[in-house]
Amino acid sequence: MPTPPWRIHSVFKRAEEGPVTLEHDFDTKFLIPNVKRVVKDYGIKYDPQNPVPTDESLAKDAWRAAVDLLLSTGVFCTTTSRRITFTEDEIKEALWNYIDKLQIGAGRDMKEWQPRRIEDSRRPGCFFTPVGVRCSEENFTHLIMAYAQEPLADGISSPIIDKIEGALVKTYSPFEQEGAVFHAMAAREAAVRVGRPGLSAVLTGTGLSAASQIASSNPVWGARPSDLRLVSVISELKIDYDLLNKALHFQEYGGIPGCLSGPLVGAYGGVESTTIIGIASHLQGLLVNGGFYTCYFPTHIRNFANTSRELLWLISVTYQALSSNTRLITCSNGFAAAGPCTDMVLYEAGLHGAVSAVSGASVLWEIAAASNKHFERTTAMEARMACETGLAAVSTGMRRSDVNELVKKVIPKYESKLFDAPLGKTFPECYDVKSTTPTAEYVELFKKIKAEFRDLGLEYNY
Amino acid sequence: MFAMSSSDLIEELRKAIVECQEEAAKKAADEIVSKGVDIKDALEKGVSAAAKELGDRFERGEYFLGELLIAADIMTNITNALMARMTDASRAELAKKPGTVVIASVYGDIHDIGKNLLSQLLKIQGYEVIDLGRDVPSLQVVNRAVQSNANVIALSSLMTTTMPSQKEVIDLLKAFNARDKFVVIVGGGSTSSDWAKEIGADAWGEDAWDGVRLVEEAVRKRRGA
Repeated sequence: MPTPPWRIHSVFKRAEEGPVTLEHDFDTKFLIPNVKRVVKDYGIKYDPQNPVPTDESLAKDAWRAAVDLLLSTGVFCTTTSRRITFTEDEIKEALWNYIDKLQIGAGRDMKEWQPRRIEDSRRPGCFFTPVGVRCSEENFTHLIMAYAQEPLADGISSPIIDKIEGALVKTYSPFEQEGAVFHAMAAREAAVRVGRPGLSAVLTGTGLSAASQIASSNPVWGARPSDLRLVSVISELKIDYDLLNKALHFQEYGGIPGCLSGPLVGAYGGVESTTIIGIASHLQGLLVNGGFYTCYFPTHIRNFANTSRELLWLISVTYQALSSNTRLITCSNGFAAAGPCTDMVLYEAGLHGAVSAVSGASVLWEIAAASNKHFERTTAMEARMACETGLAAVSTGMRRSDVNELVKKVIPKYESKLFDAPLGKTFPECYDVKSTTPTAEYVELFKKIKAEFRDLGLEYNY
Repeated sequence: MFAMSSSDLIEELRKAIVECQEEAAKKAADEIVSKGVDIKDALEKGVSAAAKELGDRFERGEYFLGELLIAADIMTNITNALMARMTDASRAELAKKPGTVVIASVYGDIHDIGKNLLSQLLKIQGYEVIDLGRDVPSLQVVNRAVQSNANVIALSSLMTTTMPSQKEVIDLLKAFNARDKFVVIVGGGSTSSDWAKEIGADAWGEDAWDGVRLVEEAVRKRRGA
């Protein structure tokens, strides 16, 4: 039987019967000392001069460090205050039996994702997402349509609905459930209205609780089994029962659950520690969260972006380690600091796509803008730049060393502004909302930045 | 071998805390006690100086939550051990905190790294921190703030749909005619200064260090300094 889920009831039982540990002790006696130890023992060292490293031994060492970390630390269940632990053979069993490919969506809109290797000539999948930006009920469907109509999009997600029936959508309230149901219906409607009724959607971001997720599962009007669902990691290497209830529902419903992991540089450690924690979180995703894929959005705790030199290094090492040691299907989720319709966001998007693609990510899952913080500051143009540039890096036959040089040339254009980035414009300022058409200003800016990337050696397909 | 002077011992203590070396810190504290070094001096130039250095290292990106958690534990243990050797009057004087902060990841939000960072930074700066944890019902936040006569309520929200719980706390404070009693600071990955203004918070903390600055400002203003 393929995994996931890997021995689902055994995992639940371990959450009930694993070693009792206070959360403070999990952090200070397991996670923090263990990650410091493995970073030192396996010689993991960040090199700011080479944001896309080509040292083959680094990927191997990072992988071994992550496995060591998970074996020595486990995953903490915050509900029961117990550690869920694994043996090395169990990790090997789950990886050995992992699926070969993943089909998402339905009918003629079905797409297939597969694991990739470092510098793989096969194109990565492309997923278009506004991530978790708040959006009005009024603009919600059109904003999703703007993403769903993108020809490169294998699947889409939707923003978070701000209010429903005039009330703020608040977790655990009935408005959360109402919002989640509306969200799922609107995503379905948007896909139909752009002529892609079987398009896979991540559902349902507006519903954070298990109850709302379950409420929005409906094969007719809501989240279908061919849609993508997400079970978060609580940072770092933690889980709780509400999340496990979601995981169980998604498995029983026959959907396509994935793990959502966003480790924070600057929290439990610096870039090296967070890299290893992040790789280990992919194993948590497979073993505990029951994820068929992991949507991965490491960010810096001070700006919630992942397009800095150190975050691009982290992303590259993560995908090099995972793609050369496992067959896991991995989704690289960009977080840009700048907002829509700025030079900066397009540079950030392009680099995130290119680095992820040559480092071995299976899917370019693109891209939050303005650090995912600001009302309706997101458009499909940023995702388009990230995906087109990632695909161009692959079709040009770029190697890691080529993309390393690309990053070194482009990143000086924006790295001084990463902690005070321009917020750009909102979706209604960047698009004619009703016709879901980007403004001439944004189209011209897009062409300009693409031409700059082209001058640096990227051969776009169009 | 030369015997260490009082200032050397205090420096040993400061260094051990900053380097998160619990055994070395205990050893230095034991020697401080056994050799009759002025305890108040040791607390000020050893423990408090270490706290400042920890904060500076965090600000420079050299230290992270891990170091703060471990160092805060060491500081608490050492401070308690040293203060046990003081007279009641001296202890009472030193036990005074610059302010009290009730802090929580709001209802529905299970993410707490940002909140934990702020909590640890405030603790090492000497504040009384009542950390209610994650996923805390709004009424519980209000009750604890009132009961503890806190100066500041700090609310963290990472997820978009938990942001309204920050507003809910403020709305409850207004409903109980208690809004003016507390400075309310909001922060977290999904929040922004616009959001803070929209819900009537007093300030938005961009990150944990900014949160410390805001708490310091708030406490200073409350005291009329």
